[in-house]
Order: sequence, then C-alpha cells, then structure tokens
Amino acid sequence: MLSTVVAGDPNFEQTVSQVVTLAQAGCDLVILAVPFSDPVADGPVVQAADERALKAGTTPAQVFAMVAAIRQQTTMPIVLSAYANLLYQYGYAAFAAKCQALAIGGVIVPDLPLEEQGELQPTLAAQGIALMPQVGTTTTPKRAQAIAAAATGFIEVLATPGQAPTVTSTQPVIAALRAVTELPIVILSETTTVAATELATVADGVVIGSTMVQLIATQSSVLSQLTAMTKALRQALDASHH
Amino acid sequence: MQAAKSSEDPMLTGRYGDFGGQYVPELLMPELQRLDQAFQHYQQDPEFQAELTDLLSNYANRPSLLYHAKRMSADLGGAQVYFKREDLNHTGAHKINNVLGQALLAKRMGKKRLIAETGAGQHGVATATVAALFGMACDIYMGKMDTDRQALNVYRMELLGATVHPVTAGSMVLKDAINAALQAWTARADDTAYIMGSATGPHPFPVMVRTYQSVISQESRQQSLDQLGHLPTAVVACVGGGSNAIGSFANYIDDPTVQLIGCEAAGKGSATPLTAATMTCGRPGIFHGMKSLFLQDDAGQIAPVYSISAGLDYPGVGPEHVQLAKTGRAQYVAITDDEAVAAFEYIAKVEGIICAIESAHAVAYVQKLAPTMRPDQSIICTLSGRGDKDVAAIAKYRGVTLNED
Ligand SMILES: Cc1ncc(COP(=O)(O)O)c(C=O)c1O
Repeated sequence: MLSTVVAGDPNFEQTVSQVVTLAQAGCDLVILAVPFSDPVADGPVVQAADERALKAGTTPAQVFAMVAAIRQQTTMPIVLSAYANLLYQYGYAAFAAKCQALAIGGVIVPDLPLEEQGELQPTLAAQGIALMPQVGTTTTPKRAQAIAAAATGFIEVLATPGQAPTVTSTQPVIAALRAVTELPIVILSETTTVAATELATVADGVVIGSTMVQLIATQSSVLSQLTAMTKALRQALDASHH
Repeated sequence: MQAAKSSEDPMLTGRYGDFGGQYVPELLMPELQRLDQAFQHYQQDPEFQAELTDLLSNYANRPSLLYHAKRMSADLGGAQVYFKREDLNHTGAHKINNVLGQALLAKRMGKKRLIAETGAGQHGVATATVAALFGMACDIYMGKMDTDRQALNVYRMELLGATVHPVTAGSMVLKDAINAALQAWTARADDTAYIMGSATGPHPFPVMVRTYQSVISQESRQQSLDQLGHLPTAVVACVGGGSNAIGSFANYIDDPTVQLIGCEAAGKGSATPLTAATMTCGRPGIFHGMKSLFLQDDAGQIAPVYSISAGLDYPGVGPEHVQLAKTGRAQYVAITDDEAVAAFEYIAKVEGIICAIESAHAVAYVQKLAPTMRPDQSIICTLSGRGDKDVAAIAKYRGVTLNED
C-alpha cells in the first residue's frame, strides 16, 4: 500500500508526523508531493492542499528538509512527485544529488511524458534515482510498452479524471505492461477500501491519493485517523493478496 | 535562405531551439498526437484549405484592410503609419482566424464539442461564435476575476449558446482558466476539441496557431507591395501569448530588412511586481505544456501577473517569440498601463478608431518609434481588436462614472 501526502499541508512539522505515522501503521511507501502553484494534473482535493502548503511557505528546499527529518525516524521508501518546473528551477543535477543524499528512491514528474524525459532521466539515473512514469487506462498498448521500456522504479496507472479506476478499466493496459516489464505496477485509487482491495488483485500496489489528502485536510485527530485507515487498508490488501 | 532541415522544422519537431515541446500529463499525449497528425494531414488537403479560405473571406470578412493612418503619420512627423485592421474582422479581433482553423480541423476529426479558455473574452467569443456556426456544443473556461471585469463578453458568449464556467481556483485569471480547460479536455477528449487561444501550450498548438494566424502577414505583405511598392520598414504588434504578433511577423521572418517588434504589457512598470512583461522579466521554465519564459518566483511557482489588459496578463509567452528574441530576429518592448491608455485615447481622437486596450500597447510603441524614422519609411502596426469591450474600464481608469443602470 502506497499513500500520497502533500508536503507542507498544513505545515512542516505535521507533514513529518503524518509520514512517520503512515510508516508505523504499515504503509509501504509514501509519495510526497512537492506543492506547485498550478497542479494541472491533479484534481481539486490535491489542488487545495497545494494551495495550503504554498500559503504555509513550502518550497522544494523545505521539502528536502522534511525528508531529512522523516529519515531520522523511518527508513520507509519515499518518492517525490514534483511538476517539471520545480525540478528545472532547482537544477536537475542538484535535485538528483539531493534525492540521492536523502535516500529518495525515485521521482514522479506528472508533466514530463516519455517524449520529454530525455532531459532529466540520465541525470537521475547517474545518482541511482528512478524516474517513474504514469500511464492512462486509455494509453494504447504500443505506447504503454514504449513507456515501460524506458521506465525505472514502478509504473503508475491512472484512470481518466472523474472516472474511478476499476479492474475492468485497468486490466488491458496492465496486461500490455506485464508483457514487456517486470517492474511493479501500481494503480492510483481515489476511493474506498473495497475499491482498493479489488484493484490490488490486478496490480502490485494501490496508491491512496486524494482520499488520504482529504483526510489530512479534515484536521481533527489526523494522526489517529491516518493510522486507522492505513491499518484497515493494509489488512484488507494483505488478505486479498494471500 | 536555407530551407530548414526536417529534423529542425518546428512544424514537425515542436521545438524552437531549446523552447517549445510537449510537457503535458501522459493522459493528454494520445489526443495531442492525434491532433498533430490531423493538423499535418489537413495542411496538405486542398479541400480543407479551400473551405477555410472561404470561411475567412465570407464569414470573417477577410482580407482585413491595410489602412494608411495619414493624420497620425503627419502628427507624429516621421514614418508612414499603416494599420492592419484585424479589429474589423467578424467578432472584432484576430482571434477568429485561429478559431476557424482549429474548429474546422475539429469538425474534420469528428468532434462535437469545443472548449476554450479566455482572458479578455475575445477568444471565448470567437470560439462560441464558430461553435454556433458549426452547430457544436461549447464550454468556455474563464477566471472569476475576468468574468467580473468582462461581464459583457460573458453575456455575449451565452447569447451565442456557450456555457461559461467561472474558474475560482488559483488567482482566478487566464492561467487558471487554461489549467481548468486542460483538465476538462483530459477528462473528455473523445468528442471534444480544445481550441487554444494563443501561440502557446504544447506542440502542436504553437505551430497550429501560427499557421492559422499567418493570414495576417500573408495579406499585409502583399498589400504592402501593392500599396507602398515595397516592404514595410517595421512591423509592430502586441504580445500576450503572442498569436497576433506571430501571425503579423510570420511572412516577414525571412525578409531581414523588416524590423519585427513585439509589445508586451508592463502593467504598472516592468520593475514592479504588477507587470505581465514576460520577455523583459521572465526566466526559462516549463509550464502549460511548453518550455518558454515565465514570470515565476525563485522556486518555480508561477507568479500572479497584472496588466490593465485582460488579454495580455499571461505569465508566459509563446516559445517561438523566445527564440526570435534570442536570435535577435525580433525585439520586444514593454508598455505600461499609462502609455497604453494614452495611446487608446490618442488613436481614437486622431484616427477615429477605438481599438482594443491590448492593441493600444502596440500603438503606444508606434508613437515612440515613428518620430525617430524618416517619412519614406513605414510601419505596419496590427490592430488586433476593437475597443468596445474596454470603454467602461478606460472610463474607470480615468475616474469617470458611467451610468449603466
Ligand atoms: C484584441 C486582443 N489582442 C491581443 C490579445 C493577446 O493575445 P495574443 O498575444 O495571442 O495575440 C488578445 C487576447 O485576448 C486580444 O483579445
């Protein structure tokens, strides 16, 4: 089970405790989203979280500091999700070096499709950092396989916005990917435990995205709720896998 | 002149030197590739081209006039000033040229619905107009700030049968409207075409918009040869995302004697934060599908922008302009609100033309440039649109209260 957390929502300290709590409750990996002014690939829940994080003054440099603080408490794998301009301004080489120093395993760049990855991927690879691609449920098999051939880390499958991913909608693209890659395939799921456990039957992992971000946004007893939700999902997923 | 090798032709590569590209979420890539293929295909299709030409002539009122502004030329006491009158097009701006091209392409691709972003409302009005003409559904995304300050254009779009969606995310202006339109397109592309309003965004939009707007300089070049007997000394146009400017420049790029000058919006001044002067103040970055120049903070967060002109307050600029500036082929200047408003009033009094506040940025630069030139030299200035939409805002700027009840 994987979870998305928007770094800096609502602030530095709470992001650190949220991620540590998720790790302790059994989350396998956290995708820490670096907030951006114009997150075009995200829905309204993540957009609002990005806005709150930016209001709190969150910068990419601070996100690295958060990871450093998290690393004092857990070795759980962490992946960053950041829009291309944030990496570009930080400097690709500096960004890669920082990821390497903090044991950040990989980066997801939502607005860097296969055709544009060449400017970043070798720089990340030189530091051993994966560039993890996304594919859509409507991506053609041929294109999905080209993406898989260039992929490192894991591959994330996304549904068309406004449509929850289902076993039926994700199966064709996953089959195309499996034919050419051994990399883990995860599905971004926006919904409930039931949906996540169903998806887990076709994928190697399920990313709990805006559901987790929304839970954090509710603000009351967030940490205990994160724990409860993660444990419930963890159990359900483990049961469905075995 | 050496023909561009196909490996360097932006028409095919989507690259202008280091700029341009297709920096979009994977979910949009298949549709962008379909669009690119269709665009390339219909560029070679004589029937498509004939239908587009017919629409431009018989619906949009082309060719637009190349008008010799004699009083203004005499008053400025230098170069002969000519206006390329895009303000006389149907719907009152250059935007219709591009929309007719993209919408006809959409029709050929089997689309039933058009969506677009709009800032001042001119591109939204043009899109709603052509959707009505083609019997297509139409949804327009417009920042909440802009729906408030351009209420008349909102109603105009509704009269034309479009649904206008006020965008309340972010700073609620043009860039946020583009975000919303891109998201809406990602969610529903099978029956829907996104009609990009400027020479911006991911490939193929910059090259498509340039192609459909090039009719401006295709006409003006011939008109110049017919009316003046030679090419102009300079071509001046305002730059928001850069569609009317690239259309005004395109057919002169290989004529090195013709100076090309783009006028962007300095707002309260390009040294203040209240500006939209991307070419002057922007840094390279990646946003809205392209690598280009953007107004942004140190970390790369896109900056809020300001100009009195809702059509020029965009934090980026089309990638081809960045390359034209880099190679020195075109120059870009920044014009303040004060200068643009003064030019808006000047051209009204001297030539009897109420032009768009966007276009007034170009007129303001002509006022500076013409007196430095000789009477046997000439300037073609593109009047990208008419100014009816701006009258109330100019009155407000001058502290005049209009009774609109
Ligand atoms: C009349 C007019 N001129 C110019 C512009 C700026 O756009 P562009 O730079 O793409 O020509 C607009 C945009 O709304 C406009 O309405």
